[in-house]
Amino acid sequence: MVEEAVEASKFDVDFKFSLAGTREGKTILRCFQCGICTSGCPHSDILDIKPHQMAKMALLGMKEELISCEAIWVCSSCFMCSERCPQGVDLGSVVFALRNIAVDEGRIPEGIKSVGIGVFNTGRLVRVTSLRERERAALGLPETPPVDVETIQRLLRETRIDDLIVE
Amino acid sequence: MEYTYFMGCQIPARLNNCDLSIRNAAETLGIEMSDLEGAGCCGYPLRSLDSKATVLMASRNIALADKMHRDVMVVCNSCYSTLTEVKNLLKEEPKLLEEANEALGREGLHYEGTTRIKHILQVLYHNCGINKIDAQIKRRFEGLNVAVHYGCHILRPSENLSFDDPEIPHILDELVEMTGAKSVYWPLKLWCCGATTLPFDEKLGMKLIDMKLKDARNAGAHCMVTTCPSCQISFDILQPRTARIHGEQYNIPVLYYPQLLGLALGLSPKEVGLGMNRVSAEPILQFLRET
Repeated sequence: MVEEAVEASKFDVDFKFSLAGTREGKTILRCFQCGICTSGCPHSDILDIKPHQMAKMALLGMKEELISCEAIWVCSSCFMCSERCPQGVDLGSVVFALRNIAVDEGRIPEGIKSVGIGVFNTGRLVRVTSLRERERAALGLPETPPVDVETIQRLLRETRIDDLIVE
Repeated sequence: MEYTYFMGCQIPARLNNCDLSIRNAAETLGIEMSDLEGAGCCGYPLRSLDSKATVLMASRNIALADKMHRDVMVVCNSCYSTLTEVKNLLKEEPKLLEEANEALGREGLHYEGTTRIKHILQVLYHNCGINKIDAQIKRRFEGLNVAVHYGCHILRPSENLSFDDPEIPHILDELVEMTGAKSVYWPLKLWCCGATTLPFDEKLGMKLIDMKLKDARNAGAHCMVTTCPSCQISFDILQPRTARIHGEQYNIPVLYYPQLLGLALGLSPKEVGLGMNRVSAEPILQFLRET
């Protein structure tokens, strides 16, 4: 919860515009603080910053607080907020924009980082082990089609994923 | 009916029981499927790190599918939402399309976007048709109470996905009730399974699993039915661990919808991989013995 007084002079007043300039964050300026996002959020009881507070903080320019909070990562991306927003704010996608910005600033939770590295290394979210392949054969299931990992790696080299990969 | 089958990552890695039920139920219904060769992760898991990576991964998969000239059938909600949303996006944003095609072009691929993306529930409900499937039902689960769990990424945001009514969905309820089972009302039906929070904080993700399993139990459900591998992992594979952490005993079997459908179509428990579910499906087997 944000309960302490905030120092307005520290706000990054242009943050809302740079956020609105991203593909995922483009709807943020429409928020009028009704709070319906928070009322439907399945995680709102445990979030350190509630969904409507996230939106308000983005509009105020509290970039630092937002990209260092837990809430943007706890969000389960269920899109209930986006579905119900009367103003058409796609807050579920705004959260992804905030995560991408946090990643740019090097703030990446370990679990999220390892997902990225895993996809880069295997082309898949989870590697299909030889044990699973044997199980498939025993069940009469066809082999898992092989992934073209090299192509995927070349594509991902052009994104932020490249920064996670240590040679 | 012929489809390109996009299996996704979680099915072959953790849920061969689900794959078995999909392929056997499809065969019974005359749905022909060929696996999408060379496919990778749909792109959804990279969205937190870089949404551009999601666009590249998804457009690559669609470009591979375009060459097959058939509709794609996906069996995971997040694969469905990602491939569908990226398709919409590339239609709306010519500059992004150009960028994607430039990157794909270097790999000898070209995104056309001609392939239609269909979730297995859409294939069953719209393409097979509920009446035609109903005519092939061999067993009715009269008296079986089911907590129907849609999962998030087929319903919301409905503006992008156009799958079903986002607040009062009915497709899966109808498909479940077609088998003779009853879809019970449970207040947390539309809530998330927690899977997407798990990589950040397992305990916080499990909080949702716990709440939903308790809610389903309190509603008198004999089992839960899912339609997404992530939800299936949350409620079935992670159920014993969630029970330990929360000091609970849920004992709620969790069936991936094609498992329930397969049984109703007359397939054996073995043919739908029921014995491989983590939580014992004994209450379901009991039904089968009695009918």
